[in-house]
Amino acid sequence: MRAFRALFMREVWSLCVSPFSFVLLGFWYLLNGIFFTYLLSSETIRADVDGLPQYMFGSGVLVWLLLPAFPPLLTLRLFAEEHRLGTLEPLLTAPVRDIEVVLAKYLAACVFFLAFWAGVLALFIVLASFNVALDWSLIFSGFYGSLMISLLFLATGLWASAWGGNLLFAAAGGTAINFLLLFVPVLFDQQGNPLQGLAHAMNIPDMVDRGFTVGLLDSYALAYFPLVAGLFLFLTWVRLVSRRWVP
Amino acid sequence: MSSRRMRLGLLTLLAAAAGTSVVIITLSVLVRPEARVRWDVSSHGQAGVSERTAEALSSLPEGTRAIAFLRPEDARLTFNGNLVYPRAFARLRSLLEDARIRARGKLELIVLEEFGSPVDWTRWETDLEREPLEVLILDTPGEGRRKFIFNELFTSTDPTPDGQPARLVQERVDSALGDAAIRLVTSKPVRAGIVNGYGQPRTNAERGLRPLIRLIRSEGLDTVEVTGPDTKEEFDLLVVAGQTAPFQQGDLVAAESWISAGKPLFLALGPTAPVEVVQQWNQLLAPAGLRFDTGLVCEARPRAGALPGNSTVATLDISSSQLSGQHPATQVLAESGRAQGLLAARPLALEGGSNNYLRTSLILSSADAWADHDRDYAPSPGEARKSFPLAAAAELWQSEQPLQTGRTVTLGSVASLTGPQLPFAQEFVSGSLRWLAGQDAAPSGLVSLTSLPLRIERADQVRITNLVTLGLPGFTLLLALMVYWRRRR
Repeated sequence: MRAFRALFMREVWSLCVSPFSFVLLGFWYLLNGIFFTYLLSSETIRADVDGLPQYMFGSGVLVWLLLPAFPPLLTLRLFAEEHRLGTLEPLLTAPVRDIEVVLAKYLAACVFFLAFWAGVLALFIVLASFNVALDWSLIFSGFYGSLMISLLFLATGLWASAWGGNLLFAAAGGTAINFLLLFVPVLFDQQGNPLQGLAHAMNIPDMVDRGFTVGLLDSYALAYFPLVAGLFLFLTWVRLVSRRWVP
Repeated sequence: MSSRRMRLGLLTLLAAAAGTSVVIITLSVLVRPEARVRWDVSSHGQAGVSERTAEALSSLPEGTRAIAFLRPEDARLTFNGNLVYPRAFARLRSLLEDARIRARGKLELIVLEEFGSPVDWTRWETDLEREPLEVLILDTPGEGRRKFIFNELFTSTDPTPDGQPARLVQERVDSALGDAAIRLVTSKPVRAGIVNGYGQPRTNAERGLRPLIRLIRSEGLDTVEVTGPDTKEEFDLLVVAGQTAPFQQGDLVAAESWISAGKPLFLALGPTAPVEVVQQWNQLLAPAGLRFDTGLVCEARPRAGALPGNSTVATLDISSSQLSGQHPATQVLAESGRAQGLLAARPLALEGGSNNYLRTSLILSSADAWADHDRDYAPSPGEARKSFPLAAAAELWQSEQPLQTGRTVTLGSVASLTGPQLPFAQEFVSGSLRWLAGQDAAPSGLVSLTSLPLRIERADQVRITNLVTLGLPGFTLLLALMVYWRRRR
């Protein structure tokens, strides 16, 4: 446990002192800020500000474009960089279990990603500070949904990062998987499609739009994200373990 | 060595496949409706369907489908801006999804979006005999089917002349779904007998009464066409729309006994109805205190081409203030501020009648209207301007049987019930039919949709923009620069 804690702290620290992480954070804030400002000027939101969480967390640019791309950019260095610099082998031979390595890196990325979400929450706080009445139950519910998605996308990013030392591959691979997870179920979730049932069960925007952002928490959605994230963490661990078997 | 690597590689693949299988199996168990739990954490507590509706839906027969047609069709609601449909459809989607899950696998949900496959749209529209403005159809494997027009599920204000768009005010999706499910499961549908043997407009023609029959069916009522009230067919509600010949003796007696038994009646006679027919019905309805008067109700409207002297003065715009806000048949319409339209209307009169009946004017013309007798479409000296009842209802004060309450609705227009005119009076007719069938549109089912308009000063908006697009990202990028500079040192 001590080794895990040390590893976790090291990862968090390395993310905190990385200029790249802050540049990512800055761009994330900037893009979300622009989108937020655009929404405030839109006719729909001016008529009813309650729709803001649905656009910010559900059917907006954030979920469809930014969220699949940013987590893999944050996680791309976690394994790929170690692999590229040749520090992965010493790490895997150190007196720490492989699963602890995976979890420490993943949790560190999750903790740092909270700073990303804090910025989005800050947008609502800024708005509320100008005496705008907001329904916080919808904001927190939608926020929670987006947090769940980001936990999943960080796990896929970590898995992509574990495949080799190519940073571009890690980033592009993670992003591609996230977009696939997001778009493919939506494409197949059509009436008459034999795969509709399966696609509907994996339809992430649907879970957020018709669940979290309207204030409905579903036991399936609450289980889906941790389970699939867990699967990708397991696959990351398998990949690390298999390096010993199949270098 | 290579054999060992192959074995271990295979082991890796097996481990990955095993992990994936475990997750898929777990999710396939959790996705089943009976395994799912949903929590409503919204501040208003009405994000999903109620327990009553969930219970009713879960008692529906296997294979019941809810088909939603999400396309803006009412031009009034998109005039000056489109604020009603996006919010209403978003609400409908989330409620239907909740209904699907909580119906414990009994309800299949099909959502047809505006930009979805036109082939699917056409197929479903044809299969379900969908009419314009119908937004949701609940279809059971038997013959049970309930159709909902948009305004049954949502109430909205009309756009204003000063440029304000229509706004969504209330919704009753939950109670409407629950009511429909209960009706589809528990009871035999109310049957309406439509009289077609006394010169009524043709019931099989689009410009005749066919749209009205479809509307009656869409209200969940069964229909049967009869030549007159004296028939072996059994029905619960008598519909007489546009009679042009007086009843024969047998039908007259049957109609009299129908009314005296307190059975529900929907009667529409236009200004061209023969005097004998009008007199016959006035005698029959005398105890209820309802009477058809003479003339054609006209009103000068501030619209091009609708000046006195022009026949379009007989096209009446009925604003919500002209609808009774006290009567269940029109209460929801009046409260929602929705306008109706009537064409070629005869004035009605409410008289003393017997003391057993309660009488109400459902629709009144404007105070500027006159009953035109000489067909010059202008108020002549003998044609005083005043407010005329155009539709009226009567009901027994006391009744014991559910469908023998003496409920009667009279309407002074037949043209409004036929062909292309029906959509303008459709909501009124729907409300009246529901009341006659004992299925009052309970206002208690209405859920207010609170809107929190964003009222923010221009200067404040500029400050917010600066903060969120410059302040926060700028500060973070500055941090990045500092971290970079420290690391360089």
